[in-house]
Amino acid sequence: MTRRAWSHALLGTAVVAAGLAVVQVATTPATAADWAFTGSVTATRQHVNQDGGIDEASKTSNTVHVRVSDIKDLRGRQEVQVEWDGAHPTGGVVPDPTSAAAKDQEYPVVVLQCRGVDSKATLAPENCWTQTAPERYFASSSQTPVWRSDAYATEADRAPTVGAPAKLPAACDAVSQPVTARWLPLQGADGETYYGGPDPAVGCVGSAPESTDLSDGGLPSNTTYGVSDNDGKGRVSFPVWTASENASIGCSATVSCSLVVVPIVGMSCDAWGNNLVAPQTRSNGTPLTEANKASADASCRSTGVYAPGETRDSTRAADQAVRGAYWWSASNWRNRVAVPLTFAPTGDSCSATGDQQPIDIGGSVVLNELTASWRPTFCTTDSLAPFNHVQQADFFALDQVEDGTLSAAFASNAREKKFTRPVVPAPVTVGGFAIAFSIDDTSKNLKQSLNLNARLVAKLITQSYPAATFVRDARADLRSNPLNMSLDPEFRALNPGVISDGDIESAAAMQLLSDKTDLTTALTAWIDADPEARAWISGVPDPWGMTINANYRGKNLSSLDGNFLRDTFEAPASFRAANQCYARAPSPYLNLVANPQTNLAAVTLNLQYGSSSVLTACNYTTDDPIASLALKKVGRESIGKRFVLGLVTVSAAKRYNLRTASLQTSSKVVDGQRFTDATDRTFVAPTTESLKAATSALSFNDYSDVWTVDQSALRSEGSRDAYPGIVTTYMAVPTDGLSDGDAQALAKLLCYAVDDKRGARQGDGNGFLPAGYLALTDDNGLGSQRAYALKAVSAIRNQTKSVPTLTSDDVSYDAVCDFSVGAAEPSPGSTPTAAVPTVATPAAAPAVVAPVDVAPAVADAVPQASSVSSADVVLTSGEHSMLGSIGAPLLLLLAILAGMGGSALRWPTELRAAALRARSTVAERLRKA
Amino acid sequence: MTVTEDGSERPQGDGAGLRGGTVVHAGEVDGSPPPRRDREPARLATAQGLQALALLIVWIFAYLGFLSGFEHAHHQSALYDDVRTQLALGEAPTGAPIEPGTALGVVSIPSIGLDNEVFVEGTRNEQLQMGPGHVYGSVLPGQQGTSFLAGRSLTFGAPFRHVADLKKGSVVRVTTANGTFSYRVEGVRRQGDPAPAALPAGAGRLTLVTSHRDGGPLGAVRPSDTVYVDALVPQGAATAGAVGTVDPGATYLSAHVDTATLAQLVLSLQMFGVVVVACAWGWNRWNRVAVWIVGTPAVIASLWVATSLASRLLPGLF
Repeated sequence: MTRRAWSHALLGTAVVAAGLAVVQVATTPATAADWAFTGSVTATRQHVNQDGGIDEASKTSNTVHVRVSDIKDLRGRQEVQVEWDGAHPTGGVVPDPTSAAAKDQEYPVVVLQCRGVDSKATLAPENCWTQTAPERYFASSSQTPVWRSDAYATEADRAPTVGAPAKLPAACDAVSQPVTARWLPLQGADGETYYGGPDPAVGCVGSAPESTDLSDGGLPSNTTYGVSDNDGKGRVSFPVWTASENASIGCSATVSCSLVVVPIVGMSCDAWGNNLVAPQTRSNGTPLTEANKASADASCRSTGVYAPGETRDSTRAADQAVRGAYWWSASNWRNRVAVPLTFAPTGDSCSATGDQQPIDIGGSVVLNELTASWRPTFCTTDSLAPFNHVQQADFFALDQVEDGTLSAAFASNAREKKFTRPVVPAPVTVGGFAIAFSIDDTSKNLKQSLNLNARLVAKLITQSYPAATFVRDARADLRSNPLNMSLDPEFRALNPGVISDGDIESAAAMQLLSDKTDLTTALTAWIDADPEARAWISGVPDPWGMTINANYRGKNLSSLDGNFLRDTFEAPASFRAANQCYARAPSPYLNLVANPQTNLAAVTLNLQYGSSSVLTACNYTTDDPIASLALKKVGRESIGKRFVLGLVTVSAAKRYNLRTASLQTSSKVVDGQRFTDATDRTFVAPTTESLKAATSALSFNDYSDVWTVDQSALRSEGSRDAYPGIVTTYMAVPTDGLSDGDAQALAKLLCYAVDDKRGARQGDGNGFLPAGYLALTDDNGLGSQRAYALKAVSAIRNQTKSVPTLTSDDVSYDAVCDFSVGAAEPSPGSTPTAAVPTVATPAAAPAVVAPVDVAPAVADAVPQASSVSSADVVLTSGEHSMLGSIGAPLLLLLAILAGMGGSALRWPTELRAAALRARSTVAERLRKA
Repeated sequence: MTVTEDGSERPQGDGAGLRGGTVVHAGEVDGSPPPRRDREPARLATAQGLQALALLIVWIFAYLGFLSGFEHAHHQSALYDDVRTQLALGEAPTGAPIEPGTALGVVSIPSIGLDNEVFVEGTRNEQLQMGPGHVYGSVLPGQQGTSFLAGRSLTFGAPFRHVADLKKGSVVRVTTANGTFSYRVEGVRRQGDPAPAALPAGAGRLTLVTSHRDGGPLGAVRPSDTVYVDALVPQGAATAGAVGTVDPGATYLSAHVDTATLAQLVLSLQMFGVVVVACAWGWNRWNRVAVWIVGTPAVIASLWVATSLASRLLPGLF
């Protein structure tokens, strides 16, 4: 079938598939069957009266059902959904349930990650993570804080001071000594005990290294004090951590951990000490007085000062007895629902195992999630070869393949200059870019969907929102522009209900990667192909009069090499006076607003936690002028003021559960006309189905052998459901000059990628294809990529010194991906005994770079067809020299002729005379004879 | 000389005629004009040109077959001193990058009388004029993997003249910075023969490349095809060093014209022209004996230089 016919067939398939497809918007489980875990607990609060009897009148009971979305093969920072119902409604609500302030809410449902599992009795509050010191140290000036009245606590846990280190360091003397104190030390995975204690800034007792606050660049807390609504229902999204994120908890494939859900129902009180053998004492050792006990009983039995759903205010302190902070108290802890979690092995397991040197493969960030999932499998499976994915700019990785520094590189676009050596771009998978966002609606909840057209994205990345009034007032080209996207009428028309706030500078830019990557190029290709955006970039104002930053006017965004820091305007003196840090090192202000990130992980982290990367914060203090003079990121945005956008991959968005924008593919709106809603515009969200529909727009480039995205095809009516952010990925591997070990290892990787049972099978577990990628299958419309990948395998294994063409004969998976024999020999020829060009060296081959061992002369090996069937025997090639075979005789002949001719011309008479003489002499001799 | 009308020479027996008076010429006098001046030199020039061409070709053959051997021997003697010191000091290179023309080691093949021939890095003509050359892009001899040495079979000492006659099992001994390795010849192959099997781990192969002289008339001076001789050291080869990139300018049996050589050739031909003009001037205006004494070595020297440079335009394996 010709390529044209193929593309027609693919188009047809895509149209049918799109028609049948049900676009799944919800990413969360909808039915009970989708929950990985369901459990319930009946949480009872009951008090012991002074006479020792149970106070039945005040007894409360809540049956809480807990559901968790994922509990197996978890990866670092993966967000699991936790949902519950039947809990006590929460009061004194604060905006951010993961902040330290959230612990003082009344009746929250606390979700934490703890090392250990209940079934082995290894679970304890001391193994649970909390981020801040106040969550682990409870000092009081009262003799009877509520935890001393806990009916279920042991006698030791009701002493005036509990859990303190045996000997307090001298630094603690500087801290005022409380009357009573409950320490909740953190037991680190390494055996270290982190006491935390009063004010870690004083340096009294150390806390865990991950306890740093956000401004230091650490991860925000994952401990969540979840809010239940008036019906007792609630849900949170909980990022689980592996040892890579938090070594103190240290969860991994081998260290089991639990997700612990503690519905707070309040302290069960035994203030009179009826459950105790010995009477409780005061801090000085004397027994508690009756007055002490009476006040303890009153405070312990309190049921909260806030009504359900009421937000916190500074005038009323929440009741201690029902605060989330006491999740660890025996009364609350006994009501826990512990969900055992298992973690997928991470790439870290590779360093410990395997004597085989991994191959470094450079390039594309699009494949981050794929390699993260595959690496552990590759380094623990004997039949596969370990590899490292060195994430770097695609073009740079390809350059390194060109000069031989790297054996292979992942990339999406073809190399700008053609390779001077034979390098085959073998398709690996298809992914996509996504624009992730963390944006609040007017009711302070995160918006779940967003519509963006290319012009809006172009506005963000061309630094055309002035961000600050002093920029707008000083710039003629930005004067009529809204300060940021939240104020842009075009954005508001497409996305009603979003907050609008002129102070949020992060809404004036989008977080991009600082390197020139193929991911960014895919985004700019989509923008450049959009008529509205193109017209706007060329200088036509949008219907509301917004114009492009003059530094970008008329530019083709794809030609900017990923450099979106073209603005040069520096803030005026008035701003410098207010910002010492900026005054010290002034730089173009909008570049600080854009502040591209060096790696994709930074962008996904910022989007996961709604952190602004705008680099204009200044924490200057005269105490520490040197360290505090540097500009800092604005950091995590407060609830209700979140407005962050960033360019990520579809796979990263799926993995970290980021919200992603739907992108516009086509529009029937008349150019230049104002609009008030999204009517007549098609927006497509990144889903597996929409990616699949977009594969029909892929076309093979004969010159570079790389599949490219035809944006114009995506705009057509037939591909209404196709996601325009589709990005193809390939692995560039030389077919000349690779050592046999490397060639076989890379061939195995490609074979793995197209194997229906392994790399081409979608799944969450390690070694499968993570969400956000399309496997190279006919079903996905990627059959020709798969066929080409297999041809590439054969070319790589046999180091054919050639790049297969798309039209050459197909080879089967079984033929080229059988690594049990030496080299790939799909059809053993008529000369089975002949030497095979590449006999696979055993897996334990020496790590030295085994030189190429093929045909004799380096430059003149037998050219091989792409199909390996002709690669059975390498015949000696040779050169033939016409000059050598006839040159010398010809020259000799010429010399003789020239010599004779020249002599005859020069001495005709003499020669004639000599000839006559000779003749007469001869005649005389004859006569004599 | 006087010629009588009938064409016979005048009798000179007694000489009386000279001493006696005037001899009256009895016959008709030859009144035809003498040969025209403008035809005579043209004939002479053509004749001299043809003769010069013949002489030049003879010179070229003499140079390539005989005199270039001196050049090669001269290079070898200098290179041998060089490589001997370097091997003794352990300074000889073991991996890329290596400057072209650097002596790498010596190769000896007793069965064809090749004794301590120094081989150098690179297989361009200028390197092959010095001795056998190591092919860029292959490992060094003595190392694991396949190493290629190219050498001439006809000119410049023809170190690989008899390589194609090697029998299986003959010893090829190579000494490099990695040590001394005794390769055993596996066989000789030409275009179309199967390439040898892949190497087991730890083995090294040395493939000698040269031009092969077909039989037939004048077969000895007709190097027309490449020929490969594989020799194997089954185990104990040294660990391979870094391998350089392939040199596209190194051609075996096709002429490679590079501008640097052409420029040098033009200069040397100008020098030759100046010497010849100077000789002609001296022949007419100066002492001819002196011209012989001074001119001959000058002409030969400048011609030698020009020929040596011109021979770089020939295929490298001749």
